[in-house]
This record gives sequence, C-alpha cells and structure tokens, in this order.
Amino acid sequence: MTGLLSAALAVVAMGLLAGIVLEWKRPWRVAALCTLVLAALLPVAGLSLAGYVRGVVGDLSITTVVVMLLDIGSRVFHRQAVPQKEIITLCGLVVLCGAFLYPMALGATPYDPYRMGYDSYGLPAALLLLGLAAWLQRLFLITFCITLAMLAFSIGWYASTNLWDYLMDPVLLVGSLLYLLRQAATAVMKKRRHRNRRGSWRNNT
Amino acid sequence: MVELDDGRIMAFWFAGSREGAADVVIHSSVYNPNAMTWTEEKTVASRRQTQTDVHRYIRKLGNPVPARDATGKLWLFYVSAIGGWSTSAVNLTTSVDQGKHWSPARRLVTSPFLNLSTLVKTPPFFYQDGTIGLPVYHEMLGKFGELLRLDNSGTVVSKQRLSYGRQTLQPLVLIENEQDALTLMRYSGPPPRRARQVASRDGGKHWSAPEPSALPNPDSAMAGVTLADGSLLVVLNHNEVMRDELSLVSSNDQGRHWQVLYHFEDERGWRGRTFSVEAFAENTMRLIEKTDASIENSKAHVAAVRNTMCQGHPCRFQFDYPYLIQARNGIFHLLYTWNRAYIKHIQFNQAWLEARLSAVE
Repeated sequence: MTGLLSAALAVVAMGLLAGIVLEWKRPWRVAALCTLVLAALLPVAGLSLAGYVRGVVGDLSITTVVVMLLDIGSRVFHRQAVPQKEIITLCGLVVLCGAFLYPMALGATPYDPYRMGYDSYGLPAALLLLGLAAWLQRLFLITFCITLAMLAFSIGWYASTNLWDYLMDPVLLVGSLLYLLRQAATAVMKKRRHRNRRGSWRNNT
Repeated sequence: MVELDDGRIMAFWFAGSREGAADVVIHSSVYNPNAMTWTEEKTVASRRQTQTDVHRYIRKLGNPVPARDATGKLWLFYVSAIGGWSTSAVNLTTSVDQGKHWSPARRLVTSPFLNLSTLVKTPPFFYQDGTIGLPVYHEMLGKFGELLRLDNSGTVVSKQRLSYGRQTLQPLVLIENEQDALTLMRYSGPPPRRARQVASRDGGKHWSAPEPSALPNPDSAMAGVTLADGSLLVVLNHNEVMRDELSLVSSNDQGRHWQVLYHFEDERGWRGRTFSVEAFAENTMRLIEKTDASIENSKAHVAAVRNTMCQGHPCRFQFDYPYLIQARNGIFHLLYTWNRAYIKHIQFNQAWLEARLSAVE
C-alpha cells in the first residue's frame, strides 16, 4: 500500500501541474489537493488511478516522494521550502547516479551495480559519506533524502529489499534531467537578454 | 510441473484466446500416476485477481514456474506485463494445502528500471540453506540471464548476473553436485545458433563468462534435469533452424559433449517442401494417433492444430516450450507445447533411459 501512496502522490503532482489550479485562492487550492488525493485513490472498476500509474512506474523512490511533496507544497502554498541551489545539486547527483546505475543494470556490462543494493556494505557506507559531505556543504536536501531513504529501507517501507529503489527511480532521473535542462535554458536566455540589453544601451549612446 | 506430497504431479500453464490476451489465466491440473489421468483444469491466477492483489495495472499474464519446498509448501512464480513481454514483472503466490488454495499474489521487485522486464521460464531450485534460487531473464533493451535468491518468506535477498548484453535468455540451471552447476541459456543472436552456457565450480558463488555450448538450438526454450550420477539430461529443439523436432540429449562430462538419445518429435522431413493444408492435416492426424491411439475426437484436434499452424503462413510443425522433471519415484515427466494447440505429456523411466544410452554408445 505504501507504494500505492507514492503513485497517488504522482497523480496529485501531475494534477497540480494544470495551471488553472495554481491561480485559485489558497482554500480552493487546498480543496483541489484533497480532491486529487481522493481521485487518485478511489477505485474504479477494481483499480484506482494511482493503481494504473503504479502499474507503469512502480513504487516511486523516497527521493521522488520528497521532491514531489516539495513541489506540491510550493504550488499549493506558493512557498519555496528549499533553495534552488540545493535542488539543482540534487538533480545533478541523480543524473550522475542514473548514468552509472541504469545502463549497467540493463545489461550493458557483466557488472550489475543494482546488486550492491541487496547485500553490500559498500552502498550504505558510500551514502553515509555522501550525506555527511552534503551536510558539511549545507546541502541539507541531499542529506535529508539519503537519511529518509535509508530509514525507509531499514523498516521495509516498500516491497523492495534493494536500497537503490529507495534512493532513485527512472521517473526521478527524467524529472531531474528536464529540470536541469530547463535551468540551463533559463540561464542561457537570461544571459542573452542581459547581453542584448547591454548592447542596445551601447547603441543608444 | 511440481511433484506433490503424495507423488501426484501438478502442472501449470497459461492459456486464453491468444497469447497476450486479457482473458489469459494461469491454469493448473493434477496428474495421478496410478490412474494415469489428469484432473479438470483449474484457474490459479487471473489478470484481474492479480491486479487486485498487487494494487496495480496488469495487461496480461505469462509463464508460470512452480517449486515445492522441504515443508511441502508450493511456490508459484508467474509473469505479468503491462505491455509487451519486455514490460514483465514476476509475481509470487504460495499454497500450503497442495494447491487447493493460493495466497494473494505479491510482486517481486527485481529491477531498478521501473521494476520492468523480469521473466521466469525455467524451474527454481533450493540452496542448502533453504533459500530459493529463481532463474530469471531480462528482455528490455538487453537480453540476459540472472539468478534471484529468495529467503523462505519469498523476499528477494540477492541477485546474480549470469550473462549480459542482448542475446541470452531463459537460463536453465542444472546442479551437478554441491559445487558444480551448469546453466544453459537460449541464444537469440546471429548464427551459428548454439545455446550459451555458464558454469559455477564454487556452489554458485561465481559464474564463468557466457560461451557457446555444444548444443545447437534455434533460439527456443530448453528443459533439463540432473541425474543421480551427475550427468545431465536436456530436452530441446536440437537444430539451428526450426522447432519442428524435439530431442532428448545427455552429457556425462559437465556439458562439454552431448549425445542425442531420442527424438520425441521429428518432422524435419517436411522442411523446404510445399505441402497443402490437407497434407498437413493428414500428417497431424497420423501424429495424433501415434501419440495416443485411443484419443477421441481426433478430427477436432486436427482442426485446432490447423487453425494455429496454418494461419497467415504456410503450415508448419512446432514442438516447443518443454518442461522436464524427475519425480521421487524416478519417473521423468515431460510436458511441451504441441503445435501451439495442445500440451503433450510424456513419461519415461530410468530403464528406458538406460536403454537409450546403451543404444547410442
């Protein structure tokens, strides 16, 4: 059932992407949020909308859940809880890890890093170091995600017994890539606009 | 197939209006060796029930493989998919009353990529500590074999890669003794078409790199068992071209050399020949009568075969998807798909096998 909740969250996040909801007043936004949760979990002909989403994306990782909650929170309450720099760093880390994990897990090499998530001390140790390093760099979102994922893994929050499944998933990877691309595009546009403004000022003098 | 506590044999298969249809369910039937009869087929798992049990969308069901542990509990692993077979995942249901009732299914999480593309086809086995070894394979982007290890609660505790790349699937693990095991895998790459093999000499801790075996095979499923003396017995399409023959082969040198003991089916004589639907039907009737002279309504059987094997292409014979077990009384039971219309059951004993062995030596 915990996995179904993560899929329901994805449905809610997708629902909130519909721009019109964001323009409503706060009580209506909260009401829309509650309606989306119900709609996601209400079974129709034996299966809920979240069940259909879960059929495709599986159980979403704890990191995805945290990121989705932050996103939903910022949309409903119009407040950014985490500095953008932290989100960008997390996305970068997800893309790096995804580039390491998925090609090999899909059979590109004899070595399968996914196996580390079952019965190795290496992955938890590496995560401990990474979490600590992020904490020292004041990248608290990364530390929080790692801690929560390891906690969820240790109590068996999902059906998976593999630590990787608590840390990341392909949905998060794609989302991170898109986010980074958007940020890069925005930065380029801003730079170009700035350069153009500077250029026209020079022309005017 | 799995042997029950009382020596009866329980078989599982998936069937429906066509492969991949929403009405495909997992069936079971029990064979009584004394009466030599199969019970009426019974539904063990349906798409809708599995979907309710695992709380997620499922489009179709596929291969089931059973196992019976030391306590007599039955384990049934079966495939479900949300699209093509490359979107498969493995479900597990168990029975503590010899298959009369089954627990709600649950999903095994076996892949980091949306948990997609893990399939089963070949028999599970048990490690000395009671954990289950489940040979699985992956079909999305790559095609390779893996070995899952499950504890006695059915939780995945580890997995091992048996091959990698895009050309091997359906690993068949043949355990020779406490240390040695050979795994054969179906090969889907370019010719020459030889089954691939990997070996372990340390009780499954490590496996060798995949290499071509001495077994020709047209990218089709294999089945096999290890005999008491450690020699290997495999049933497969023993050629590189088609599934129109099905052979029994054996090796007594850890898979280095194989000898053909018997052809359960052999219609290679029809290859390359143009023949009419009537000629095909006539030969099918002959094969049916050869299989079981007492069979009733053989014309309906022929019509069913003609419908599956002559649709949209020239008629052809197809004998595939074998599954072989040896019961505790030493009798071997072989099931395989007969021209995609029926499941054929053959049983043979040790004496027959020894006669075949001495005939070829």
